[in-house]
Amino acid sequence: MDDVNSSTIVDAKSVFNEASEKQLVSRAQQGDQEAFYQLYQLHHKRVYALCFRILANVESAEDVCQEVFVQLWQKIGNFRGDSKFSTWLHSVATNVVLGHLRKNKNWLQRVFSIESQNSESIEPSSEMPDLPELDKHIMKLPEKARLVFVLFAVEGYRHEEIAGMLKMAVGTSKAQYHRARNLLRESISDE
Amino acid sequence: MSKQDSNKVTEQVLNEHLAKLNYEMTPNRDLWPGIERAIAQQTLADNHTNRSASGQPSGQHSSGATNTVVIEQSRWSMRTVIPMAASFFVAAILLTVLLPNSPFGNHSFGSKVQPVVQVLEQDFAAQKRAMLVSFGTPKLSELPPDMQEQLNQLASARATIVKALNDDPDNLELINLLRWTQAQELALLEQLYTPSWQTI
Repeated sequence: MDDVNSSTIVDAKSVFNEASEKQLVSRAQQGDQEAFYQLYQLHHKRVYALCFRILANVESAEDVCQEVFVQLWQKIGNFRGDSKFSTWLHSVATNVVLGHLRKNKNWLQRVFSIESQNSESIEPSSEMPDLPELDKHIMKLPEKARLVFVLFAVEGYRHEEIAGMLKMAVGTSKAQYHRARNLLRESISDE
Repeated sequence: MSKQDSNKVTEQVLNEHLAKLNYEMTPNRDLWPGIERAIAQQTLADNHTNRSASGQPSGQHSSGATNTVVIEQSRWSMRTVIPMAASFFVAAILLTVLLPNSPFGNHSFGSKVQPVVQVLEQDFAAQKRAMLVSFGTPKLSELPPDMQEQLNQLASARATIVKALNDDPDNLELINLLRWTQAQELALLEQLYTPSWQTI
């Protein structure tokens, strides 16, 4: 009986949160900045975590997280409520962060004529915050393996989706994921 | 322990770590003020553009080149590029005073006032000169061809925008684009000549 009550309470809470979020979204769509700020408060830590894990750099992650919310302000009118707001926001965030990565890499490659093969292993920022155990290992991964691992294992995208986002074959995405897992296991066992 | 057993253990540890992974992280600094500033700039630019175009107050959402420019500007403003910030400030004051649809009223300066594009270009030339002097007046022609090409592309884009502005001097989108292109050129020069880049 207690279980039933507690699950009913949890459901009611989540329904209330969803309804309240819908109201915030609707108000933000009308140009209400206070409502937009509340949406920011609700979601920015999740968005920042995505940016940080993809970019492996604190400063860039902060800048891109800001860019995500500026773009969100511009695009929030396009949200029709077909999916959960958090899901939609996450796809916006993923596009922005991957776009940033692509743009910067192209620029660096153009200016310094770096081969794409070499540019894969970007050195993580020296100013790493105090990270949880697994994140420390993730930061050591080569870039492609890290991107695929984060998108698949952390963010829950399918390999087909990741292949589309990263412009690679589905098989490559799967191979990079297995490579990432092997490297992570090695890194954990080396400790 | 055999290698297979060891793999099993680390696989289990990895899965445990994954199950406990926190999906949220807190940034080191407060990101909201920068976002708020960028949104305010964007709303201002949208209002101005729409009022210029139709004489009507605008809604908040728009798309295309103007937005891209505003985002880039907000990113630069978040960094500590003082000359760019100063230039932006001067340009913002000039824009509000000189543009006929400025919310600060119609100021009739007549033909004595230089066109905005001319002022922006003069300001840019002065900043570029000062920057190059601070780097010891290096010869741009001695830069590697890739970098020269980057600079040439930006200069060529700037010249095209200036030409378009000569035909349509009050076009806010073009003015924003010119300011952004100038800022890019200065930022590139700064990156090319600051010591941290020379060591790469």
